Amino acid sequence: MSPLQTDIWTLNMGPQHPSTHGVIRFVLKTDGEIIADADPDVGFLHRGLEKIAELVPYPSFMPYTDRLDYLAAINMNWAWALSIERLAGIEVPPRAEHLRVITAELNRIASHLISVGALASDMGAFTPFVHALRDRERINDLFEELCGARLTFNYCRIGGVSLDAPPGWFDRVRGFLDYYEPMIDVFNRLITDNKIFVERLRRVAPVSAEMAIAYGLVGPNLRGSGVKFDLRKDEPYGIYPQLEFEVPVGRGYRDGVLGSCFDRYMVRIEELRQSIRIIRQCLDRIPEGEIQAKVPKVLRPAKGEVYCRTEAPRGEVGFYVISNGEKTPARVKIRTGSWSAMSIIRELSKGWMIADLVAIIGSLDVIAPEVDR
Amino acid sequence: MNYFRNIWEAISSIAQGMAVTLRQFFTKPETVQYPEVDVLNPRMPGYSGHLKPVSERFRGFLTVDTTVCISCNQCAHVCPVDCILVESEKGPKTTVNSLRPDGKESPKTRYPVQFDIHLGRCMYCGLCTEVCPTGCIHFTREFRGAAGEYHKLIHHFISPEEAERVRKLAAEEAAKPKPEKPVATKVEAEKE
Amino acid sequence: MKELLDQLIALAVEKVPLLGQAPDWVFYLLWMLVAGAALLVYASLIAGITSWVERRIAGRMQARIGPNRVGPRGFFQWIADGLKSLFKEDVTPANADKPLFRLAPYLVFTGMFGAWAVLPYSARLYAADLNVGILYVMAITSLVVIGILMGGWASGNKWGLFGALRSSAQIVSYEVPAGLAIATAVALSGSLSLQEMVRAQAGPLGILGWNIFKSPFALVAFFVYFIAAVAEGNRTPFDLPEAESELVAGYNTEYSGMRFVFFFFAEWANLFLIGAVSTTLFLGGWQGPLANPDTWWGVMIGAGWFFLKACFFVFVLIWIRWTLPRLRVDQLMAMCWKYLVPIAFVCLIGTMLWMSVFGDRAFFGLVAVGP
Ligand code: SF4
Ligand code: SF4
Repeated sequence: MSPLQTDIWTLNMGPQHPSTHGVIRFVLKTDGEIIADADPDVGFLHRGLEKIAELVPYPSFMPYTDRLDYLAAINMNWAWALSIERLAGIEVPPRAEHLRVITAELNRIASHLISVGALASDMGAFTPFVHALRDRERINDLFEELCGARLTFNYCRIGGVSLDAPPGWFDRVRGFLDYYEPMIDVFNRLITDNKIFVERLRRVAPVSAEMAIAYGLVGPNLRGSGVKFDLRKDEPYGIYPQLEFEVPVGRGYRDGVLGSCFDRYMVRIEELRQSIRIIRQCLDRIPEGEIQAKVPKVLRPAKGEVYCRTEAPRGEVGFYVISNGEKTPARVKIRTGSWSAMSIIRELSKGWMIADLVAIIGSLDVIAPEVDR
Repeated sequence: MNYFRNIWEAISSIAQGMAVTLRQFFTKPETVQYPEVDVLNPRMPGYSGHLKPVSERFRGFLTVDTTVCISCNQCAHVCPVDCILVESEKGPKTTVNSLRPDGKESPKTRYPVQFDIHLGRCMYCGLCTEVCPTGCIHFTREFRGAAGEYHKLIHHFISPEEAERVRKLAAEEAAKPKPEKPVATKVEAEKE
Repeated sequence: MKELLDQLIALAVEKVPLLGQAPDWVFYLLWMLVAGAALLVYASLIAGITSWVERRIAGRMQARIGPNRVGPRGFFQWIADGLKSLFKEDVTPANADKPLFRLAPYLVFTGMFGAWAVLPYSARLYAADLNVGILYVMAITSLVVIGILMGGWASGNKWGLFGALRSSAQIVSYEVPAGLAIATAVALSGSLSLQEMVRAQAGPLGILGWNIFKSPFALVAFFVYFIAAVAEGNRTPFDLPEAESELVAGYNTEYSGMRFVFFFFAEWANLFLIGAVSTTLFLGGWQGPLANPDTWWGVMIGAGWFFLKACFFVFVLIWIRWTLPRLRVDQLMAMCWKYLVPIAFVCLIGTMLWMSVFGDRAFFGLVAVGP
């Protein structure tokens, strides 16, 4: 009998595929179910944010940063505000700094909830996703009370934040934390401990520390490979140096391989707890006072340039801003975590199955607006 | 040994997960049937999950109190997406009280004859409400904005009659013996 | 049922003398048609209502409300959905293998529905009592995989083909543990006829004689059968053929309109079928407290028990589906060949040894059964 003839198949995955989180397209070459090559095709969500930034005044670009990563709008706001503050040398009042940390960490929880929930739903379990949304909804309510929006908050301002917390808001945040902390365990019981889920992820697509650094992975994806690097600790900004928290790293959870999909997932779950811890500290020590520094109405930072990076839920987000003393920046370059995560997928998915590719995308937490800007 | 541990882990973890979903099954749903439940009412019936239905600060549609607006055009300038259009005429000089809690007075000499907000473009960022010196442009809690035609999303806050009235007023003001000629300036929302 | 029908026929012959001269096969055909129509209505009702129940349960498990617009608590949602699909355009892709593409949903449907004919709804209520009933069930439900393979292949869609191939691999493998577990039940009750199997599970209280209580091995075999049946029915956690997050919609990616409904009809009808067969094999079918095959009320109560048990399984299946993630293809095979098949073998042999020691005694050999 002659050997069976097999062929490499070309398969189009996306841009309208249920598990390509937004509009990302892959051109797959598969041998049966085994992936020989996954060619990411990005750009479906390109909105030209960097060009827009050159056209609008510094403060007016703030709402666009919401759209940079709609799941973590505050972190993006903060990154933009911070870069301009560094550029123009503006001091932020302490109350505003605390409010920023509280909202940013709340937003991190919300974003990680989506991330872990979406990974579970990619694995075929839809209920954990909805349970994650259920808890996230409460965070959205808190934000709605604080600044009036549920997704695109546009909360930070250059030199502060836009609104002070309404009366009783801090108590409600505390109430949420008290509610949510045990819910992490419930969520773990529902999906994290699940044998099928663990088996699907724990040895899949490991990224070694060297590879992660070589590809420029950032944030939880980098920490999932066991590299202890967190901008909040290593290049602190805001009031993070005064706060106590751990940086969870991947360590081959559940007998898995270091840097596997499950490690990245677990890093996010652990970060949920750390965020709660940070918020509690901030709530305890938030001072009274101003929430907005004096900033000229028409902001014209002196000629110069700045690169400022912060730790967003999807890794670091960096703004490189060049000013030539005008109302609008001369050039803005945005660096986001999903972009580097996207670039590693091709290398990472070789030899794994289509079902694993879904896990890889989900565990790297790639979202389209961040990739395409 | 591993073999039996795998079986045991599978059974126990699946049972754990199923206990969670079963508990959720017997608790009240978090969601409410939207159009039937009045979400603007702070005491929504049948409601278990959230803190408040639609909060006080909710950024719904924009609205303008045109009697207070001093046509300073700052909102149009700050808007990142150019969705505000203010046209005004010079009229008699008065003062208006700010709608903000501080109630500051500002002089008013220009009267809007056209104030359009393109809600199809607006991204509800709130920058315009922050710069407005009189607080006359502000958010409502209204969010039901489905329109059959695109142009219906452009909200006109000044009726033609009102514009006519203001124009007449401006003309009278112009007719008054004053040195300079009143100019009807068209101030468009523009940016460099 | 049969007696009732005989009476009806007698009545009809009395009223319409012409009928009396008709050959036997006319009556046989009539009987087939009547029984088939009744079953079809029953199956459609069950499938439709199951679809509503599933969505309601899923809603509650996810802290949502679920469908509630059509009828009280959305009860008529399934009718609305069915009607909607009827009126939708039935698209056949340009590069599909058209006859096969059109045929596939009917095969799936027939395979699933054919099995309903032999289910022992009650001691008297059944369409047919084949002496090889359980073999018939296994055989006719295999049509489903042919339908799925056909549909996935013929739609000319690569995702569809993936789904079809996964499905065939899965069903072929899981037939083995399912068959072994069924053999356990057959050994315990000593018959292949579903009615006979249920009758053999009589025991004290109507409960203790159930096959799962006859030996601890049978209890394990029951779980093996249940898992294998879930896998054969393509339900989560074994829903790889239609894995919507991986394969878009698997084998039914290209289907729309009425043909799509046929696939889903089969899926929901299958839920009840899994429950019914598991009940018959291991949980005593219509046996239960107060159920009695000899009196009419005993028969009715038996029918109630059967329905309740099957519905319990439907609930469990829905519950599982909305809790668990999905396995990967290789894990699916590993689970079948490394876990289920050996366990099923152990169960079969264990049960036989157990029977030779304890005979026919019920409740793990502790209670002697009847005369
Ligand atoms: S809310 Fe923002 S986008 Fe809308 S009109 Fe005001 S400034 Fe413009
Ligand atoms: S900023 Fe306020 S006062 Fe000025 S034109 Fe706009 S709405 Fe009128």
